[in-house]
Amino acid sequence: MAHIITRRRLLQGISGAGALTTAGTLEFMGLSNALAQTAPASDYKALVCVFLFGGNDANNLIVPNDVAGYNLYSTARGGTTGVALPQSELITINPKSQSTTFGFHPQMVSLKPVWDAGKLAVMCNVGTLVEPLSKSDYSNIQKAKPQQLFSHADQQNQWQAAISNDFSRTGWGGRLADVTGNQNGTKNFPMVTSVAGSALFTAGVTPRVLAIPSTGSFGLSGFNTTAPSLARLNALKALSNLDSANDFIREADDVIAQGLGASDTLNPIITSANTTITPLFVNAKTGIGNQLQQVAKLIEARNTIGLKRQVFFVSIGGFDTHTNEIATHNNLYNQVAQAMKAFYDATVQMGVANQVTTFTMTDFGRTLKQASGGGSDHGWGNHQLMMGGAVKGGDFYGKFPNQTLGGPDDVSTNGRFIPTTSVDQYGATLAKWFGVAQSDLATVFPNIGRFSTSDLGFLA
Amino acid sequence: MKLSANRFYHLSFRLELTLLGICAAISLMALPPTANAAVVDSIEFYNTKLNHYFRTESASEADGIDKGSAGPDWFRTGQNYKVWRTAADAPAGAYPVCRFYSYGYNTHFFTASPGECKLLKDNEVRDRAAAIAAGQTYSGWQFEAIVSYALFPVAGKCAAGTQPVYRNYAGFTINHRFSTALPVYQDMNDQTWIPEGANLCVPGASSAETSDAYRLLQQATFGATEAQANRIQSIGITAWVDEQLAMPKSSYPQLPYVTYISPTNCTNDNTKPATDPQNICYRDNYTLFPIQMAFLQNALGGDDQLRQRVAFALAQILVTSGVEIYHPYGMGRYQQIMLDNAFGNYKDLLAAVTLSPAMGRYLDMANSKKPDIARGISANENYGREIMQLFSIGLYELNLDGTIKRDANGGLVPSYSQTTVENFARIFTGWTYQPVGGGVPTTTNGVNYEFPMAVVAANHDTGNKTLLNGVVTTAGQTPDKDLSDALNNLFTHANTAPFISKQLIQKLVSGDPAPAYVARIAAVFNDNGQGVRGDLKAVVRAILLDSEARGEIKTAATYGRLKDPVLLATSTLRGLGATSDGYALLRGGSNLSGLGLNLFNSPTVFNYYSPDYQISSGKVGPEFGILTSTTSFARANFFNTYIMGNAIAPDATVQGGVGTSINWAPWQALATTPAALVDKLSVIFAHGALSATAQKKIVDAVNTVVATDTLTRAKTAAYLVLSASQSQVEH
Repeated sequence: MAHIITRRRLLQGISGAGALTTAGTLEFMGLSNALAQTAPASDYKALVCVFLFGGNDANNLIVPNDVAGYNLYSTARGGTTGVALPQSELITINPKSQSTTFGFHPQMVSLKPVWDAGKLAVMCNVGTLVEPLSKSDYSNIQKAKPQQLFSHADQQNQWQAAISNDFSRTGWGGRLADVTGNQNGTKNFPMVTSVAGSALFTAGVTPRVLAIPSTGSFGLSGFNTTAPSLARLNALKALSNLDSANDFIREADDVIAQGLGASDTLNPIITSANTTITPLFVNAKTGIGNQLQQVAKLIEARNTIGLKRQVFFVSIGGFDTHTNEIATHNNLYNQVAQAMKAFYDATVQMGVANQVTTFTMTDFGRTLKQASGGGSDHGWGNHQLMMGGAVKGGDFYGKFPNQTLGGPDDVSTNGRFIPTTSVDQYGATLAKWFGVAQSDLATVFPNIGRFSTSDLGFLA
Repeated sequence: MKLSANRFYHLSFRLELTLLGICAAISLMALPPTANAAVVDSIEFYNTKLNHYFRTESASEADGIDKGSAGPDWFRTGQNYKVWRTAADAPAGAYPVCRFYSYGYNTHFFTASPGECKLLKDNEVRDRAAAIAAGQTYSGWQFEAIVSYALFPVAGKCAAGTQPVYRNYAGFTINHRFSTALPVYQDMNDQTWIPEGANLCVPGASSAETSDAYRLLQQATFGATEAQANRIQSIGITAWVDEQLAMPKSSYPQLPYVTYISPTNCTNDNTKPATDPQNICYRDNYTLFPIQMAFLQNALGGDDQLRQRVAFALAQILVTSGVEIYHPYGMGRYQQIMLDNAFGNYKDLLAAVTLSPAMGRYLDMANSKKPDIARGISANENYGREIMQLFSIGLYELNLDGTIKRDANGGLVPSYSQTTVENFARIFTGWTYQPVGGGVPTTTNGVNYEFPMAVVAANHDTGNKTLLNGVVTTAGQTPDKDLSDALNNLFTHANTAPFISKQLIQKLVSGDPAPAYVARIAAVFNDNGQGVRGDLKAVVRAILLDSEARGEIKTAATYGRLKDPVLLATSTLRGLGATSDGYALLRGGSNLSGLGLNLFNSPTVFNYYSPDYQISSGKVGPEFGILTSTTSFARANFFNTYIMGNAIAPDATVQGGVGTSINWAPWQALATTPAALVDKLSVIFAHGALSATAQKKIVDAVNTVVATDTLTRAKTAAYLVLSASQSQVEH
């Protein structure tokens, strides 16, 4: 089948407000017509997703600190010779809405001031769901349940897609950009940025995520202003702009063409030594710290970039703690807490704390019961952190699970908790704050209508 | 031929009459006599104003066109091929090629069909008479000459020693283009010139055969070389694959056991130089460096290319990672399992992987004990889950062709449940590392990667276990029998053949293979023709010899795969004829990690990218999972380092190191003719499939470098050919 040269390059360098691929649906066609008529947003807002790859065991991030609650927890985890944290090491917190006290993991110490300032909150027992589900529903074949519970790749994808009843090739961050791209007006710059490579979360119908490095430069090396060098550079650019009947060749072309389109703007920003936020990251010189620092640099340069709405994705791996969980957590939680604290301080310093909301996601929760080898196995519902000036913090949202093994919230006897809040609701609350129109909410979260509320109330 | 000839009869003259004024028509010249040679060049010209192609077999006519005899807008394209000039030169059975010209269309037409030639000649006699009678100028087809002789394909194939001439037709410009180069044919197709197939055979080695030889090398080696392509063309595709299957295997160094924690005189110390013995000790015993080096040196220089390539594919299915297995004596032994079993049986491979201490540590089967109800400890589920999800059957019930089965409601059918995982977890209890020095363990031991894991029966769960397809093991079986039952249960499951076969196709040939291709290979997995299941040698052979892997031109929009970073690096160095010890690819400024693949350090057991990763068109292209704007820059910058840059000196810490350098002399020798230089690079790095348009852009850039600077010319050409997506995607 013949291909026509003029059909190409629809996507190149174009963000959410841009043109459509052939995969565009009628639904999105309607959207694109509406875009032309909408004025850009006047304020700046950014959502920052911190993905904890491997399935963070938040059973040890948030621990019941009352006598009965701690004993239940400790027994299930095999005590402190198993994977329970000693109660004496917990950082005590008093969530406003809870009648009992809880404890943060000791390595969360650097984020404690943010909690105390009311800018950090916890979403309890949130997870992948197709529809609300009780324990008796779980064994009812008529009730829809997420595909392949307890599998890393599938549950990562479902958290990132906010679709648990089928495959999806878009994520909710990308779809959010699809429907809010109009708030960036006609600005032609990628709206979704990943500092952690490709991720389903960032994939939309129209926008292609811009992936930038966590350190170093972002562009081509080895060119100068001599005629042969310019000719080589121009040829390289021209080569990425040829049409091909082969999907893979076009995809490779589009990826580098997008980078070439953004490099001139971004490279000076991320390589600048003259930034006020760098000193804040002195205790966060880690992979996740470097990533969040890049996000902060981009936010610092928001007027240069010219976007009013941005979605960011960063990540840290290593949370698949089947064994050696205590030592692994000490290391990883320290990195996460230091990096998030530095990032929060940066947003305060830049005067955008109220306009930047950071939140965590992870594959799944883990079994409360310890696994052979000093760890825990794959679970389901889990706790997440939300941070930012707009977060109504110092509090828990959702419902903390009953930690009785085999109890009313456990679908097994190992402490795999049925989520009482869905990923869809968690995401929709963030998306509403970001500025998604109510009429577009179901485009971003197709199953949101099955749940009681689309606003969990943790954002002002 | 009939079809296109008919099309001419329907054309109106209106448009073409206006064109006549613009260009001096080539047909005004008489055809001069041709030098007496058995074969001559058919020289192609292109008119930039008319968007017309033209060929002449007369060197003097070509000279005249060069000098402007046909107007200022004709240029040589370089797309020449050989033809037989006379009947005496041609083999028996060749037909004369008639050349016609029409004032009305201002274009030429060539045909070797005797019927078509006669028809047009007869029409000319009839219509010229009619035109004269009506007082008009005849503007239809007029016969000019027999310009060459050609054979017709028989049953779609050109005879040995001849190659097909492909033809495209553009109605909008009333012109045909003839070419023996598949990229030209494909390129014109992309530009909406209708592909009319191969209608003539002319003398010469088939570019399609050359192209397929190089494509095979992209699929079966760590990078094509001219020597291997010549070998394929000399002994044939099948013989070459069989030769590779029988090649003696390369190996990893068998490093000795080291303590898990490094001794104090063997630790990484940033305050000391890299050449300090303490740091070298650490690098060589507590990082994967020696194994990575061995891998690269084998890939760059080893003869058993296919075995290594398959081993690397298997290592990306049965993943362990230096994130956790960072002792090189452990990873070396694990990767050796891949080499040893690459052409063996998948069941043996699965068994060796299961009991390998590296996998035991990575997925926590080592030291997993039977459930301890009193202490509230379950059997570790990690290996029980991943051996099903990743190493054998996958998540969902599959058809033989690899597509996912759907239930009556269109839903997916999970191939196992959490209960299955828990049962398999109990199967895998009781295994531990052998004691240091080897032997039978009596209790759980600390990490020892030197020997396969062994079992402590007291730690094994003795209950019965419910496996897949209704199989229940007998309570009280030995741990070995449990293990063998479980592996057999997975190996014989209907999913395993399509699940593993498809991934091997994806890693060798094409990211989104046709289901029928998967089904053909899965059938071989299920039975190699002698009743043996899981014969990887037969599977690999079938993958490479399949019609979807082989053949002339691939027009499917989803054919091929993006070179992963390792292949990108090794194929560059092999193809350019570099000398390298591999060090720079690991620790140089432009290295594999920067390209997105830290060798043997996959971030998780799910490999660097998912076999299901979808590109924006919705098609599956696994390697695109790690292609981002950042890594696409890194690829171009990799070429900047190794091609535009100078030779990289050997590192002082590498014994016998040679650094990385390219001998540019053979490339410089071609640099006076940029088109020839680019064409040769295109053959090696893109099996000749770099489009004519892309080649032209590269040639133009090379021409901006002064002709005397052959080194910069060669480097410029190599940089651009390798950077082109048409080279980075094997297709």
